[in-house]
Amino acid sequence: MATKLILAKTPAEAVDAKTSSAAFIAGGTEVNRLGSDIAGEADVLISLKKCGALKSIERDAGYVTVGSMCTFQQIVESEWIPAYLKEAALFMASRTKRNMATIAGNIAANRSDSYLIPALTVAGAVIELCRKSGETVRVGIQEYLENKESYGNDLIVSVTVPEDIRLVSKRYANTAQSHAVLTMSAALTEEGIYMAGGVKNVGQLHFCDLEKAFNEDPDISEEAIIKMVRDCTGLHTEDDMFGSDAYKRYLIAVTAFDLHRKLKGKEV
Amino acid sequence: MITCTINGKKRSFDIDPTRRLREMLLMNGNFAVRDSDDAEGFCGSDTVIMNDVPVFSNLVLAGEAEGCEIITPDSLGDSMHLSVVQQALVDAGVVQSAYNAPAAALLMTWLFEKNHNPSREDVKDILSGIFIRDAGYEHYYLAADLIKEKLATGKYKTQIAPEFRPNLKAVGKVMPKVDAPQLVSGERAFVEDYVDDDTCYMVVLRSPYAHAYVNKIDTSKAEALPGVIKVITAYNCSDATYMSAGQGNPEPSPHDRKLLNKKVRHVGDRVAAIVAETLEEAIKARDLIEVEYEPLEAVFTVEEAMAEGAPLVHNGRVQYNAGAPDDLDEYNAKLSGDEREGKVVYQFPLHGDILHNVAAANHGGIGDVDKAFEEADAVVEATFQTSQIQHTPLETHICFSKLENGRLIIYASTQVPYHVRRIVSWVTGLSENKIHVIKTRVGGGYGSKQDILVEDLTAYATYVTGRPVLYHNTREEEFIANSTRHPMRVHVKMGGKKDGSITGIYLKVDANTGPYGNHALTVPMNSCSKTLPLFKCDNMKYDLTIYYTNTPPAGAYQGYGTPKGTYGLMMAMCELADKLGVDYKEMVLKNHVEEGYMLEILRGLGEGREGNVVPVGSCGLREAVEKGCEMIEWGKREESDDPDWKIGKGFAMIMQGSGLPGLDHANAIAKLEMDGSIIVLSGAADIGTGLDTIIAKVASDILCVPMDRITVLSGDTDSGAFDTGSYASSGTFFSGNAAVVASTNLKEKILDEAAYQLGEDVEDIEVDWPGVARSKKTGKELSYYDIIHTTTSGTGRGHLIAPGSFTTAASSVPYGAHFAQVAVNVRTGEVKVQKFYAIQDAGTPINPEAALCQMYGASLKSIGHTLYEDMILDKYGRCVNATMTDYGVPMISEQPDDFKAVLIDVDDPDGPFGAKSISEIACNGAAPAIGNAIHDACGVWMRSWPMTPEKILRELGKI
Repeated sequence: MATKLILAKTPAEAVDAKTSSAAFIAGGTEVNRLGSDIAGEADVLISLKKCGALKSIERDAGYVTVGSMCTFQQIVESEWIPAYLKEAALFMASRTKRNMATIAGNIAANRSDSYLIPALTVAGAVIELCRKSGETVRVGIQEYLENKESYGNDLIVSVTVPEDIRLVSKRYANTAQSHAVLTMSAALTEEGIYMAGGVKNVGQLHFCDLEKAFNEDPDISEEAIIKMVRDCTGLHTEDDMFGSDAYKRYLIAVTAFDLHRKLKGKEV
Repeated sequence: MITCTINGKKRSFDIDPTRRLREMLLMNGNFAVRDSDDAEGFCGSDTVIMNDVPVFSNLVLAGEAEGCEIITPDSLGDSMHLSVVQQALVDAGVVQSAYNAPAAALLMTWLFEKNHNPSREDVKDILSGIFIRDAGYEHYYLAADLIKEKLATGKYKTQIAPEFRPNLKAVGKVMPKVDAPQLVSGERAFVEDYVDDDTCYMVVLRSPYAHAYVNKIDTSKAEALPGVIKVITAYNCSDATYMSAGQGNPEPSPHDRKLLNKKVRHVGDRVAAIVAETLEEAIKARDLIEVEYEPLEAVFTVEEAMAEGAPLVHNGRVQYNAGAPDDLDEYNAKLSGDEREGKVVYQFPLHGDILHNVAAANHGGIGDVDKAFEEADAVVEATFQTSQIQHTPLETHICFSKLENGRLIIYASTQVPYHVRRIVSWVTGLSENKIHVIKTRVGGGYGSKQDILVEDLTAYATYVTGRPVLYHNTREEEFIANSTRHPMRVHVKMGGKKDGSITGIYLKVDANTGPYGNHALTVPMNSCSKTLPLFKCDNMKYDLTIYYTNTPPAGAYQGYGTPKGTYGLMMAMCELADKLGVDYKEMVLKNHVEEGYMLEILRGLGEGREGNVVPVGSCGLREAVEKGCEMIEWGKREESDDPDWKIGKGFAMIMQGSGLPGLDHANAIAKLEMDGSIIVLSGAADIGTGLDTIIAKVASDILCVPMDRITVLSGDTDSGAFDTGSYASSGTFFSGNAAVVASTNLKEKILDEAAYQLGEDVEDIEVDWPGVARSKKTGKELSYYDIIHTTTSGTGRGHLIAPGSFTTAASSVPYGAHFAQVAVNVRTGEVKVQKFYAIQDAGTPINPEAALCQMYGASLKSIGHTLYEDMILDKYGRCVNATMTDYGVPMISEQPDDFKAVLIDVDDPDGPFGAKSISEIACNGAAPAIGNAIHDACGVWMRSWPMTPEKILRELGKI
């Protein structure tokens, strides 16, 4: 249980204070919420709310760089943020929560029901990290999430996403405020279709087999996709309170098919 | 030190910066910043404005407020000086139980500061972080319109609600609820606001097992902890066997629980209570208690409970206080008789059989259903399953008790103050004159506060420690240790002729009461007694069995068992119409009861006693059906632009009761005060629904005294007189009628005294506005001030005080019909409720705007039950979704786009000024209306709620 709070005024100050027993707090909706493991395990909490430098949104050469402390609501309201990211931010139904939750907090939490990660992943978002040494490094979001432990003491400074990318998303939850059973995004890139999604209690997944199937046969049938996902042994969905294994697999398949269909027919 | 500005004033606090901002605000006295979700960031009760942005103060650390500007809800205006926004919320009728009303007012104020002309979408957006369970959200949109109009022109243009009875000045008129200013402004109102500084805290150690003996409890380490005052266990507390159900005494529920048991019967059952100086110390001590359990096999469903050789939830001995069977000794010899089991005490026979886990049962009917099915052209038979549902009141269960001069003083958030007193008397052994129950404002009840779930143990802790004690449920405890809606299996068989007439109905209900039998009979009974009387059918039969299991307890829930019976019957009727090739609307119109139809079916449905057979009284059912069909354009098929989405329509007729004739009882005392104003002392328990306002309105119209000169004091067992409480839709009908009787009696006393003082005959005197008695013969006039001044003088005849008591055999039944239009995505199973129309006959709506809000609130709640809500237990009986986010309640995002509540004008001969009940009935229609609409959209019959996308996909054969 935390006994100390540090109000960092700069990213450097925040990173300097970070140890293995300390945790960053961004918006607080994750760290401070009921049942949070982070608040229970950390001795020291490092609040980033006074770091004004992390709240900017900048636009340059077809890319938008979002400061790590930008809230979901700032993303929704910004004229520079691309529509696909606004849509993902609006998946968080509570306005009050959107006023608090931040883009970096949502990435760092790396929840299986993350609002933003699927869209950021297929958008090829790049994360800028501030390290204890003072250097900054830029890594792709997928690299960051897959090797999160190695970036544990680094602070996310910003997230850069492309403005012009054909990208669609879909989220399923019991009610708008419930945790999502599936949040899925797909984007059309030069290499073809890119699909990722969060499956509740499974994690953030890159649907390589689906990409391959769509890229190899853009007219593949829905039945084929459903069968493919139903039979996929690499997908470790289980029955739980969010639905059965069969339901989740069916939903992934149908959603993949829908997103692919939309990408083929939709101009950004 | 943390320094910040709160409501424009600079303040400094010596507080651990890792504590929550809300705790700091409470230190500052901003107690209207409340907590409904234990810092889940869901309900929004803790909303404040921080640096001009709305945030959840429970998710902000105190230290992060350094240098910040904070605005709290109590800054907007006090109850004597409401802001435009606060006043509009009051006027729109949304300030009901109102635990979140101050937070909602704060958000609306912030919205209007940014935008003087917000759109409907803007209002929806700003309220998206506020959970409103009582009034729904529809009238918040109305409030926004009122605010716009007031700001623009200085007055309202929009009609808030229809008004009724033009001959009356208060009844049927749009007027602020009398407690609304207090509630919206965030003044002291709820139990937590009255807690003394020297209060200690109680927490409860709960069972991790669904079924186990408690063989040993070692409390020594806990008791040795500094600050710990007392650890109470089954081994050192009262052994009284009682029942948590707050209903008429003797109760139609088995007495089968104790303060603390030596056998636990569900995960979350009470094992020990720890009283300590601080909450932290109490929690720490709880962790030090060592318990030796002897786990037992458990049963969780009615199917498991009824199986041959099933583990017995109660295996002690059975006792009857009246009507014991002759073979009781032989029966008891078959039970284990283990002392740890305790006993089950029936006040009178309820056809229980604990050897087969049956808590109660009832069977009966009229005519010959077998013959009726033989004669039918078509018969449908289907089984419907409903889920276990939590009430989720914003204010979780709470009790504060203390001793004063040898009396127990209990501040309770309850629907039944007199039953609280009775049960506390049983567990403490104190006589009722030594117990004073003060019902505060109630932050949401919905039936859950009809059970005495925390008051017994809290008061007992004060009794044995002599200390003021506060107990407050966590949100998780609301799920695992409170009463919930009974899961039920409803089997319906219905036969009909080609002309659409129904020949026979058979209803078999198997209900799961959980580990204890509170409301075991009465709630499931309603699945028959408030549904079968809708049908003009000579052949009806019902079999009702209630089983004990080891799930979290069930109990009273708004609507009692009626929504479940209605779900099965109206779905079956729609299916029968489909099978017969008859239009469902025509079938409904052909088979519903009408005024004067004798309800023989009620004879066996009297809650453990013989029921009253009465004719149908005033009945707006047909008008409701016709009106709703017209509004939703019944028979017109809607098509979606997207081929994946199919649109369908459905509806259901509904009924409820207005209290329990022959069982309920209400009292009131009306007093003429020294300046001619009126105080009414009522036994009633206003739980936010406007009952105090109803009482004030009837007194106003009877005594011709303006509303602002009438005060209603209710829910206080010292100052009022007995009332069975607010449940079974009894408030308006029983407590309202008691106020009518008391006011009428006071009026007679005023007339008599005025005649005496004027020297005229009483027949020649009348009362008139604004509180005068006038001679019709001479025109002479005495104000109430004149009358009371004289009669309380040294030569006067005494204070004018009039009691009023109300009981009746009359039954004023509210009727209605609920309509839904849904869109179903046949590829993903998603359902959108596009339209929902609630059309109801509530007799004379005494508070029309509040009545509409209750219809919206209950309808949205039941949409939630139909589509989203379900307590999910794992194989060990643990609730795995005991948080608001995981459980899934409908909020503003789930509200239908087109949502309408319509009141049918019916003047009931027995209700106070023609009124019937309003709120409970509105829980009954959503499931069958939506279920039938889903069938209309995509052809599948949904036989269990919640009707989730996965279930729809399964019915469609997609998975």
